[in-house]
Amino acid sequence: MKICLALAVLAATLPAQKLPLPGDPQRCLQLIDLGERPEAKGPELVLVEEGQSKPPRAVPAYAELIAFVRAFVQPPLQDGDDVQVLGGRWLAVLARPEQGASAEQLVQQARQRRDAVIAVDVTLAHVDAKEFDRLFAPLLPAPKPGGPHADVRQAVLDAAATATLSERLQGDKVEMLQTPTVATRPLEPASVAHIKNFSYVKDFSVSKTDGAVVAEPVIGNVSDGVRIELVAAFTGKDHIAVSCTVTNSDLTLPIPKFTTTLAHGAEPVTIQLPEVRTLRLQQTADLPPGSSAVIASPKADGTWLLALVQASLQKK
Amino acid sequence: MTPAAFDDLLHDCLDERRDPFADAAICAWLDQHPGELERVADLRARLLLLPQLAPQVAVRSTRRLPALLAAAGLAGTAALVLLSTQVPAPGRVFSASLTETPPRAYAAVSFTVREVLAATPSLRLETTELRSLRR
Repeated sequence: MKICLALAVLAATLPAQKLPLPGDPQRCLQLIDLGERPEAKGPELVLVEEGQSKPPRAVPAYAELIAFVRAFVQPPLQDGDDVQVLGGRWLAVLARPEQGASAEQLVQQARQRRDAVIAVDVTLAHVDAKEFDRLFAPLLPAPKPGGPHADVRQAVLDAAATATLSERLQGDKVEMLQTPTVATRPLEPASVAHIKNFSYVKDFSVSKTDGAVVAEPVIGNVSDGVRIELVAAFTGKDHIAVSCTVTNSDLTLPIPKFTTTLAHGAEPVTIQLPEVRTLRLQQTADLPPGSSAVIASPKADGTWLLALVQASLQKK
Repeated sequence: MTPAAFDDLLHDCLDERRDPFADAAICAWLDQHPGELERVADLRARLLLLPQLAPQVAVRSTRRLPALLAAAGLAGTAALVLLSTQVPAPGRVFSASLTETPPRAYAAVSFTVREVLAATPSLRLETTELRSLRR
């Protein structure tokens, strides 16, 4: 927050796009114009989350944009470097001049192709171990020994391997979740959510009034559905860079419940016991045309979790 | 006015149970002869013991009270203004709330199990599982 405020103050006094930093000759503050931001879509174009009376506010996900720039700036940013979005239009890069130039090039490429539309598909799947060894392991590189997640397999698959993997994901023994396709323009943060919210009685608070036990319900909230936030842009001539966060929550319905009494002589109460499985994927990848980024990881229960991210150019 | 004439005027005033300090001629003479002030004040104080005079003097004191209070108020305000730069301002409460949380029954507990499957600078894959159990 302090850094953001400092950047805002500096930005307000900047006569030019670059400002040297006192006491730090290696770095400078560079402001890059992201261009006019598109107006928020009308309510009729926003997916309404079930259970909500009003459409959610269209708030640009600048965190995803910042993560995107951080991932693709070269040379990589170091401790003390920073990237922020100011006023929804200006990208502030606190880094060495060559890193600022790299960020500027990224923005320039996006602005030159601002009418292009990039579509991103994310597929999540649970696969049992036997099926994974038979169908998917041959398509993926061998795990790299050592490190905290040595069993994880990840790769960028070419178009042919992507088609094969997508076909095998259609098998009966694969529990697959296909998230909605999200289309966006270069460097424009996009998000889609299709979520049902559930309130439930998680417990009771108990008090005694005039000798009688009074029980007030304690309400909890759980969600069921999927939320996607992403930023995509071009790197090079045809490569598409994607930074996305996918969160999928699966609530077991109906919510189990039980009835009990909280004190002697009190009325019985019913308490609900929800179970929610949530899967969260954050990925930043640079993909050649037609290719996909795939990651497969074994879970503690012996099954495999597989995530496939595909990006394609819908409109040049 | 000679001292004898002044004495006659003063005693006439006292005999009429009037406040000598309310008499303009007496006050003018005392202004020119401040040495007589103590004697006049002493005589006036003795007469205050008489019930006929006490109410008159009390009324006059009451009439002077607003002016005295106003003067004291002005002096106090001036002192506050002068001292305000040196005395630290008192603290203020901008918002506050005090609520009592009733005790929970804890008839059920819920907890989350998190499993991080992959974590690199460009990738993070994790699962969480919310579980609820009856106690």
